[in-house]
Amino acid sequence: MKIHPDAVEGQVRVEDSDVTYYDTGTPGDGRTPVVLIHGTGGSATSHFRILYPMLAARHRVLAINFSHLENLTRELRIEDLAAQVIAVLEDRAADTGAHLVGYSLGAAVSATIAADRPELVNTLTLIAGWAKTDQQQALRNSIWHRLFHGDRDALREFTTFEAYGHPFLGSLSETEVAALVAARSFPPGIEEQMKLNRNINILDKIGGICAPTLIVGCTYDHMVPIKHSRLLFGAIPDARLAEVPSGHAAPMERPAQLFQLIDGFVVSPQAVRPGTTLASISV
Amino acid sequence: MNTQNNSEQDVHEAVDVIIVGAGFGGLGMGTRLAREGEKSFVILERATEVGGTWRDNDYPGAACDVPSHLYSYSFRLNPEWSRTFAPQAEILGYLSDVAREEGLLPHIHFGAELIEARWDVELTRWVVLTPKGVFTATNLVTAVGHLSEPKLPQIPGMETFTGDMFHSAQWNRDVDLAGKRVGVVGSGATAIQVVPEVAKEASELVVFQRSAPYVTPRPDRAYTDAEKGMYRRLPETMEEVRSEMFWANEDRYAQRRGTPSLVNPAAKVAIDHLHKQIQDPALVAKLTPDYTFGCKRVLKSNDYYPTFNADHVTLDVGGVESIANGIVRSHGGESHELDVLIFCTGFEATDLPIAYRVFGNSGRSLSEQWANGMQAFATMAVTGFPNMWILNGPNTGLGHNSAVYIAESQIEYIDAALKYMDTNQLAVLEIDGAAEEKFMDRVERLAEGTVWLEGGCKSWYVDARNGRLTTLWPDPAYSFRQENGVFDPAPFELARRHTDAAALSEVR
Repeated sequence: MKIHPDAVEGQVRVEDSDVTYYDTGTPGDGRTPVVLIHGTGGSATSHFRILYPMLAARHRVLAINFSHLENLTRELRIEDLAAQVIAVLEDRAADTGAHLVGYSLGAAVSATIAADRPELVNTLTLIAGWAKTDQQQALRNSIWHRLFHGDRDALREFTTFEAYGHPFLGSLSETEVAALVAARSFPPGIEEQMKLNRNINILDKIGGICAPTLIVGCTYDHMVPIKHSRLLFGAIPDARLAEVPSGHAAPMERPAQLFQLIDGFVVSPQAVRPGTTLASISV
Repeated sequence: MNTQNNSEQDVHEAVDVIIVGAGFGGLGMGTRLAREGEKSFVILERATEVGGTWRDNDYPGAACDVPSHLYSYSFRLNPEWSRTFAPQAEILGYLSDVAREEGLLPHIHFGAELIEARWDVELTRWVVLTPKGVFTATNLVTAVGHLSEPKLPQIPGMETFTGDMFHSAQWNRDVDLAGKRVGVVGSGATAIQVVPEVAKEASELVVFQRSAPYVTPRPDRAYTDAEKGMYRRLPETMEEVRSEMFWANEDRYAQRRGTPSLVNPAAKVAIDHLHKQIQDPALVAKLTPDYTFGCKRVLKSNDYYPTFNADHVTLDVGGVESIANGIVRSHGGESHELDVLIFCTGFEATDLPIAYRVFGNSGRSLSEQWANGMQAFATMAVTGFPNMWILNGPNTGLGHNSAVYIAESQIEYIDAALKYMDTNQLAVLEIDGAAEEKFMDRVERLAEGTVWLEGGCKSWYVDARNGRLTTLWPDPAYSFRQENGVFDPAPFELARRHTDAAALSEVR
């Protein structure tokens, strides 16, 4: 189903692949888009099903699907994915720049773009992102590859277990958990992305990011533990840090809270001073 | 009324603040003032005990459909909630505890229904007439809610009904339903709680439905002793669970914007629930809603649908047409002979009865000013009604989250406004009319495209007089607090500048 009634779907050619985007605005309409970059094995629709329409109520929203590079003869690099996003930004948002929002692997890609092509990025939001893969992540990655080639059902359970925070999973019924497990899919390109995840290292770049940045770490994240967000916060000069009490799957567990964080930040990026932590929201 | 010829003792000592109503809103405001201890205040309550809607709505099966750890004050978390969705008696008990433990009882005047409230331009005070005497105060906070005045339909021949007849919020405990033929009019939030309970007693039950509601599963369960103990010993875990509940509800706001990719799966949950619980195709058809999910309040129940599988329960979809003695005729042409008729027909939510009793600085009533629908700046302040603050008034209802969160946001705002008056030694604070209009235009823009306006239903969220969404806040709850929870004096100062300076000095 269409991600949003106002969204126009289009493609931009990058090398020999088409990158799909969904845009609720048009180039030249003067509206700076909030650009959503999904994570490993995801898509605009699967990761931003709720966040996209929430943001679209107040902003122009542009989401991108990474394209699977079938004919690649070497391992996938982060620059390959960055090139796809850059091509769409140049096509759709060259006049305005972008409020770039990256989630998980999409955060690593977005940070790379902010470092390499600062003129395209007005603000940067990194949700459950990381700069350098550590051994805790490498171990999980290794289990993932074994199960991917050995036992897909076990992999569905494993990734569900890893993706969601324990407060969220623990509050569900058996049927609801079963539905989450059954819904896990392994789209083309996921294995290449998982190999890329094993070797992420953008530590050298991120110190040079000059865009106002919002880092969002997730309290109960097993996949990208919150320490990685704290390190990004330590490295990026104009960064502020927020914490969401969810697992890695924050866009599914806490979309409304992410929406408020992103909306508040892109509307007035300097409302929270760089180097400070956003107060937790009490309800 | 004895206030027409007041004796001296009928006039109470002037206070800083009069709060009208001792429900969730009034007790919350009172607690704030009592804890700060800076202001004198009274709470006027028409009944003989606290609790507001949770006192009145004590019908069988009454419970909240917002989880209790969220539907409670943030400053009075309660580790003892027995279930996810606490029953009415427990919520009422909670409110009674708050009133007693926060020291509010000495401030509350029971049996003191507001008969008339008038802004006295000379005194720059509110003068409130009640059966318990005359009260005056600098500020008036109305906290009467929008679910407090039972609404009864006008049905031809209603007065001829020979059996017992009452509204769900005025449940008649003297009527024994056992073995009786009972009719329930309505199929909204109250009816779905009442119907399964009445079906247990009645020999025959007819439910008169005008439009089918969406009913979703109710994820209710009892809390274990371990959980309650954890909440008691580690109160921060209550805050965590509260936050989970709040944000899970906020997620549902996106459905209300009418995005098909979100509305359709949400509607499917309700439709699947129906199909799982009802097999008879004719019954399924009658219980299938004909409007967009979320346009009316989405209901939660596990035992509503199954009630209709019982042989002694009938669903009449015509709506009541007329009543003649013991016979209730529906628009579908069917006649039902009944002993008891229970109206689960809701409340006067768009045309608030209190508005007919409150008069501003021009002598005009609030209802007159609101003839085309109610409105207030930041949902609380009305031009022409200085120093008056409305809790749970226009645009404060939510179709997706907790009303207590909204009330607390307003209490914060009102408290800040009162402090601003003190700090700046202002006798009068009145909102600028243009600022009020501007606010309402913004609310109208936010409401555009939502399922409440475009979902193809008729609901109490929309005022029939102007077609505007006047009872609901059409944005996320969190945004309500961002926008209406922080007092900004500027639009009030604007009104002051517009006022004749001479008049102002006279006031001083």
